[in-house]
Amino acid sequence: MSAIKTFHRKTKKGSVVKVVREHYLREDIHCGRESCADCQPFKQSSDSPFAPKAYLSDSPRVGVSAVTPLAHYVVPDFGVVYSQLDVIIDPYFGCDIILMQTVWDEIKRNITVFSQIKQVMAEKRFYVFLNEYNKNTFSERVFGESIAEYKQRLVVSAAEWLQSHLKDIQLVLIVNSNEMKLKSESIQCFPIDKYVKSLKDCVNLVDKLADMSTTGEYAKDIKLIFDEHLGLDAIQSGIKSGTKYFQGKYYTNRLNYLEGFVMISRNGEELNVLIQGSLHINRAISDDIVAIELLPESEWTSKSDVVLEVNEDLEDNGDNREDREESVIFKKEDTSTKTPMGRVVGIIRRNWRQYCGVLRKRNENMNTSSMSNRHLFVPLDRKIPFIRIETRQYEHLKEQRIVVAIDSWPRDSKYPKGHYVRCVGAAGTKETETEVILLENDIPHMEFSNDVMKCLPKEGREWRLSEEDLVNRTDLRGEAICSVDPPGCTDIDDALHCKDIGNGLFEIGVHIADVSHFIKPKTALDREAADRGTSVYLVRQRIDMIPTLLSSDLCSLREDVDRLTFSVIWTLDANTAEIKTTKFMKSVIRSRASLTYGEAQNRIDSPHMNDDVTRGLRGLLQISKILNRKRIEGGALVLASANEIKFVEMDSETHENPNPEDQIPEKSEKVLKIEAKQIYETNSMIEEFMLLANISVAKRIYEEFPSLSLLRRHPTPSSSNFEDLMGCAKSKGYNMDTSSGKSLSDSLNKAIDPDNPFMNLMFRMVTTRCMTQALYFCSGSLADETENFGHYGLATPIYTHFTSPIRRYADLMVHRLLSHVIEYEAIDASLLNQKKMHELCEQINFRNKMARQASRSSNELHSHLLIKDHTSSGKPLEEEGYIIYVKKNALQIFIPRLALELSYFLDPKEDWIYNEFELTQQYLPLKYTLKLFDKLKVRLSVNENALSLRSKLVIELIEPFCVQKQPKEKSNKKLKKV
Amino acid sequence: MSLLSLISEGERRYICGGIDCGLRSDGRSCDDYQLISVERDVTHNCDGSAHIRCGHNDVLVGIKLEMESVQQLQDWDQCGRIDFSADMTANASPVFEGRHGEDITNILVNLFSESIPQCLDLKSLVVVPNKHFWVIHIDIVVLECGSLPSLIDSAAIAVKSALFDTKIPKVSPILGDDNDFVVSDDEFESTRLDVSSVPLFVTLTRISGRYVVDVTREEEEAGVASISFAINSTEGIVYVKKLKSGSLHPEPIQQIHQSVQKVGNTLNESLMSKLSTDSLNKGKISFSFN
Repeated sequence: MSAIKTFHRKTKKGSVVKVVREHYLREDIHCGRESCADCQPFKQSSDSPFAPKAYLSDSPRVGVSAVTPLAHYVVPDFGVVYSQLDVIIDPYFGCDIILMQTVWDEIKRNITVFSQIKQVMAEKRFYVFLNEYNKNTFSERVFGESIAEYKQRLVVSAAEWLQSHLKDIQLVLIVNSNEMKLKSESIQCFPIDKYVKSLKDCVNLVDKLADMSTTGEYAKDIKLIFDEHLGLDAIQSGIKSGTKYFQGKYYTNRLNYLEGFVMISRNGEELNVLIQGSLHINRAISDDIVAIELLPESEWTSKSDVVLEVNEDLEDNGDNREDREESVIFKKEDTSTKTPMGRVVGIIRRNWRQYCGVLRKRNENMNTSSMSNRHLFVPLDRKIPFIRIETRQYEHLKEQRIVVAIDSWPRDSKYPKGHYVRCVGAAGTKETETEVILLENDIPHMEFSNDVMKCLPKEGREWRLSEEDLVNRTDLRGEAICSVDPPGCTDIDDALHCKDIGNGLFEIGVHIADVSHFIKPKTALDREAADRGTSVYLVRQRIDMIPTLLSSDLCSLREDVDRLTFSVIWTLDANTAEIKTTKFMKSVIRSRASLTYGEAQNRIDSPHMNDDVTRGLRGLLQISKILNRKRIEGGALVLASANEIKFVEMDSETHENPNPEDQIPEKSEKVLKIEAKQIYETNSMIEEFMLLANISVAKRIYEEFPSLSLLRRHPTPSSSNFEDLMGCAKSKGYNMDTSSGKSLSDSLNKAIDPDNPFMNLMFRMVTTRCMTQALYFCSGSLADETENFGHYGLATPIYTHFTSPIRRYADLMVHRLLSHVIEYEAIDASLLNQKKMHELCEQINFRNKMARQASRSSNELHSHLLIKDHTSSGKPLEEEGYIIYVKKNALQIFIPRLALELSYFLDPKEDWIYNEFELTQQYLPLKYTLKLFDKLKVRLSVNENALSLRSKLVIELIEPFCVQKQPKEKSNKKLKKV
Repeated sequence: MSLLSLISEGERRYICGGIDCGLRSDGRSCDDYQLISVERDVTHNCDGSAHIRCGHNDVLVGIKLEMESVQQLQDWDQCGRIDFSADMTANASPVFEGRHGEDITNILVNLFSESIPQCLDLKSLVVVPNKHFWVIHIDIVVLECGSLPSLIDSAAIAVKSALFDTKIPKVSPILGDDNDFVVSDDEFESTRLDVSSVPLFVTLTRISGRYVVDVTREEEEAGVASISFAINSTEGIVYVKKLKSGSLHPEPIQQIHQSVQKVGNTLNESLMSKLSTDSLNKGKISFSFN
């Protein structure tokens, strides 16, 4: 028996086609109950993807629910699965759930819901009942019935048939509360909240219920705050027109949650559009893909110059106050520098995830009876608005870090509505906070799975290279190779040698751990490494990309052991460092010495040392100085970022990535202290050769794979990016020429103030912030090689990553490409796919960004713990800092020793006079003017009462003058914070 | 058709004699049709379809809609379009093998495209003004052919039924964009054409001294020439065309004017009443006249 399904579809070309599908009905579809006598059992085999994983129990859910104490199966309808997913998949909600095919097909349309359900189905007894292919439960749609009604009817009639089929087991249909009541006699039907509340010990589950009371229909008397979002079709056609709407990702300003920007392209030109004020933001949340419309030019203003914080500590009693402040913040002022402004007209795709944070502390004086379960959730990510949730566990959760998901943001609500998902742990402890950092940055940090571990060499630590491994490898075990790394480094992925081969030539070799020998494509290990993308370095903790056996042992080029490597060997002119020849080879080395930067420096400087290794080091240093000079002359920038100052240089090798763990300061749990790290010439020596190797490899693979090379580029920042820098420089009387990397580098070198040695560093820090991010990319996915491939910071036309395969997946890919190029090992054909390569690059870029953020957060966290220690010991920390930005209502202060940047709010406002041209703030009571880059001394302490991490710090200015605060001001609206 | 004569001289005279007395060999009167049965919605791939059997005529009509964009605005008269095409299968008769059916199908296409489009509200086919409009493709497949005059009448009934059956998917303009539209994927969300003034054809064949409707093949052989009237319920005769080579005197045609209109109206009325009684039904229902 069959039926016909037809529908119309619009093709991309714009024509309309009628699609006709035959629909066959069967009688042999199993009902799902394990011991059902009437149904033909499925073969339960693991290799058939269609067979169900498990049958439903014969005595399901007995006595779990107060409303239906007898055995019953739960049948959720689509609305419930979609909106209450966290409840359905909760282990406590239990098994024996029947998903109707009608519901299942709807679920498939939403990839996030679908993948979560799939995951849970592997562990829980879910049964998908194919009601639409079952002759007994299928019926055709009748005229005048809406699709939603039809689907509802299919689910109900299938449930009714199953009920008559199962007889003694009750079927319980679960619907969303606001849906219509069913008129079915034979089956029971409950709204989800009623059913969940009837379960035993349901408190945890009840909190996970999403609030579905608003459905897009608003009563007339409700005051709507936001404009309606446009429908997707209207948006798409508006975007197609090219002038009406624009699509882009919305980013919230980190310092001001009422302001954000969207990068759009208009007429092929990249344009950064400012979105200001909550009404224009119109419920967009950072990272959403939105459609915006440009405001008329007459309404364009400049970026607001304030740092805005909401009081996170107490439940606010009225919302009016903020509205008023909003208008103050954005009042029109100087209109000389106008930025394009826009407003959000619709959301194309929400990018909501689950957020970590805390509950806002409840005002004890408030009448708690009326809204006792409603709470405001304060996400740690300042770009995310507060979320309104309901929980009955406030007493339990108030000191905890919890995870919350957003359900909806109705037009009449100031905050999005969400529900509680889970609890991470007690706030303020190192473990919880670190976990939160990992969660917030989406970093995979689970132990490696068994499948992955099985891919490692069976011998484990006893692995030795065999004869087979030596085939086609150059034996370099006789060379005087050594590695130079930061102290305590265990994942040594590079080693070098240098020897004088006469005629004024040096032979210099860079040897990189051959990780691709151990990680073969298409293995579980490879997939896991590709997913992780990079190792993540937190304070005193490293999250490896590959298992420790490889990272710290088999691939680590330690001294006096034979290791497999991938070598680049040049012959260079000893005086000009000009490259004569370049060779790439797979090799075997035995490192003579694993040195630290300090040790290497000592060897070079010591007149008594004259062994091969030392002589090699001296040669390397000599060449590296020439290389460095040439590079700087070529326009390479010497930049600085917060982290680098603290630990001298985060990545001693390439200036780009977070450092290996050893550069992390000594901060133990109890006694926290920070050690400054020394810079040696050897640091930049290693860096020069790594850069040289990367560039050589990039050229070579690009020759062979013009459209499939994995390269790294650093786009030239647009001139608008440099506005901050120009402003700073102008106020200090310097001129920054940002027209090219070379001129910028020269300008930076000239910007020196003998009275303030930190100023040059500050300029470099500000410059760093003006930069765009360096990115991995697939050479075939960018059209114009001369324009796009360049690395701005390093001033080289082509660049890639080759030198750290232990901690970066990109390097591993480059190794594979290069192996193919030198005809050592043919590359797996599945990797030679431009689309896949492009996706891989996107993935690594994402992970990289997250890893950077996590490292930064981890630093911040440990700085906080340090300050907390000092506060509790009664000696608040006093630190020297520098003003790196002057804002209208705040000073951004950078503390070099802690690598910490703080916002110091100027409070009360009346005491300060802001000069936006000279970037100064004058303190009226003392007639003292603070200027950009001025040195200050601040006292840092922790306010134990504040809940959220970011509002904990209290900053007091103690030098050059003290500012006395009335405590009253503090509790009002703005709080000193980080 | 065939060069060979289908009937002998004796048969011809027998038919003519009978007709002169108002008698036909199958017992019908001169303005009587054979049993007509129409089935709607016979092919799912079409947006509208109908299948008619009437005597030896067996015709399938399928209607497909196509979205078209306005190419040059100045050439466009602000309305949709109807395309006819007809095909004679060799199954109908071995004489149609190859391209031999083309003279008949050309007659069908010409007759219909000259009479039917002007009776439809083609403006209602405009989806987005000055941008997109519907084109109605009407495909006529002749599965069996009795005689040319009766085939024309049957095909016209099938075309009208199929037009009646046609469901135009609902297209809604996109809010804020005048140039684009979305199509509903709900199969029930559709509009129908107003077919009330689509004409049916009554084709008269002059046999001996009288005019006869719905002739059999033998009667056609015995006839002199045929004349086709397109009649709709509101305006009466909207189109007339003479077929075949024999000559007809205009005077008798003026005389039959009244009776032809009456036949056409009856045909229209009974078809429409039958069609509209099951218009809400998606199922396949056959019905007939007489």
